Amino acid sequence: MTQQEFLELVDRHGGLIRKVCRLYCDNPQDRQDLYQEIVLQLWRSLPGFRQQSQVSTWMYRVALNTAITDLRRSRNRVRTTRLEDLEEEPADSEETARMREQTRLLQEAIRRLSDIDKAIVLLYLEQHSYEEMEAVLGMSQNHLRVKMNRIREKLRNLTKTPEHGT
Amino acid sequence: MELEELKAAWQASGYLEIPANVKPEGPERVTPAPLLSSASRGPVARMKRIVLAELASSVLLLGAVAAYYFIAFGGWFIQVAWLYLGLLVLLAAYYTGKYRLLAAMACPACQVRESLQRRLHYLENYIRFSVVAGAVLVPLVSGLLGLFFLYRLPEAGHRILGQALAGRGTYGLTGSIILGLGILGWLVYQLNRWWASRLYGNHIQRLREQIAEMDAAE
Repeated sequence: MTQQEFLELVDRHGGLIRKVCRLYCDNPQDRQDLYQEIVLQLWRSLPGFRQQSQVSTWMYRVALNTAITDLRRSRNRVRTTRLEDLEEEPADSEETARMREQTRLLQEAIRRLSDIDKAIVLLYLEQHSYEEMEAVLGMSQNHLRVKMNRIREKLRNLTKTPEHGT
Repeated sequence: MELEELKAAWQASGYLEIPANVKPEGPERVTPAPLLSSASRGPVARMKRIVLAELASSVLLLGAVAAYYFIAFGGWFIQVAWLYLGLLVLLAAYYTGKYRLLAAMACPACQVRESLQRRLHYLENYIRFSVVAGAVLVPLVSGLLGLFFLYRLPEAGHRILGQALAGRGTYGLTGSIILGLGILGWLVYQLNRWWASRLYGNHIQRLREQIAEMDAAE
């Protein structure tokens, strides 16, 4: 694959990388750094990509490995989220107040998950099958189902509101 | 919140929703082409660069010292030059070993679990190698230097040792030197261990926790 073809590939799948960056970094500068590092790692690991797995599987592996194992970002990463940061997130103006509140709580809850749980929930919510999740994460499908149930419980607790009790 | 509700809320949130046909703007905009030839800012890449810099510094410094002793003093201290060259070979082997372990540490295209296990395994080996090699190198080089000066400058050497170890005899003297070097090695070992723990302790703990988290239900 030539450099130009690689850049086109990154353009086509750039959303995937940005999702990982947004999930793992609260700070825009950290997101920018992580994006660049992921693209660089993809380029360097390209010769080892045999196309036996899907491109998205390979990209998720590189992106998540880079995000999870980066020492500097893990040290500086903000574990909790300020309310003003959340209010800056894009929101559909036609959403009902209840839905907005629920999604805000969901975002905050996902940010509070561990790095591994974030990876699982990202793949799950992005509609990947357990088989694909296993290929990316290296955890058995049974284990992933168990973990996903636990994550759901965590999210359920974290997104509980006194008004609605959901 | 049930899983299907969760998915619906996720899709509706737009939190990670990025249209495929829209180029990123603002802080997430990148120019990938020059980026591909830039240096990685990841931790392992930085450690590799530091090891290479240490190797280059050692070659320059010890090489220069060895060259000096080869040329100066009319060849009287030529053994010192060889000693420094030997030390340079030892250090080169040490830094090469460290670099190889670092190179084996990162596997970005591996499955996440495998990648974490690999990183932990090689990081622990890297620390063990650094700590033990440092603890062996320092007394070894100190002993060699001491032996050399005893051999080359016997009067001064024996006067100094004689004052410090008067009445101990040859065996006592040898035993004391070995004991001293052993204590030095132990001190260096403890210092290296403490330093490695300060540098990498938290990261190793975090890797262990992450692997345990991925293994927990199995």
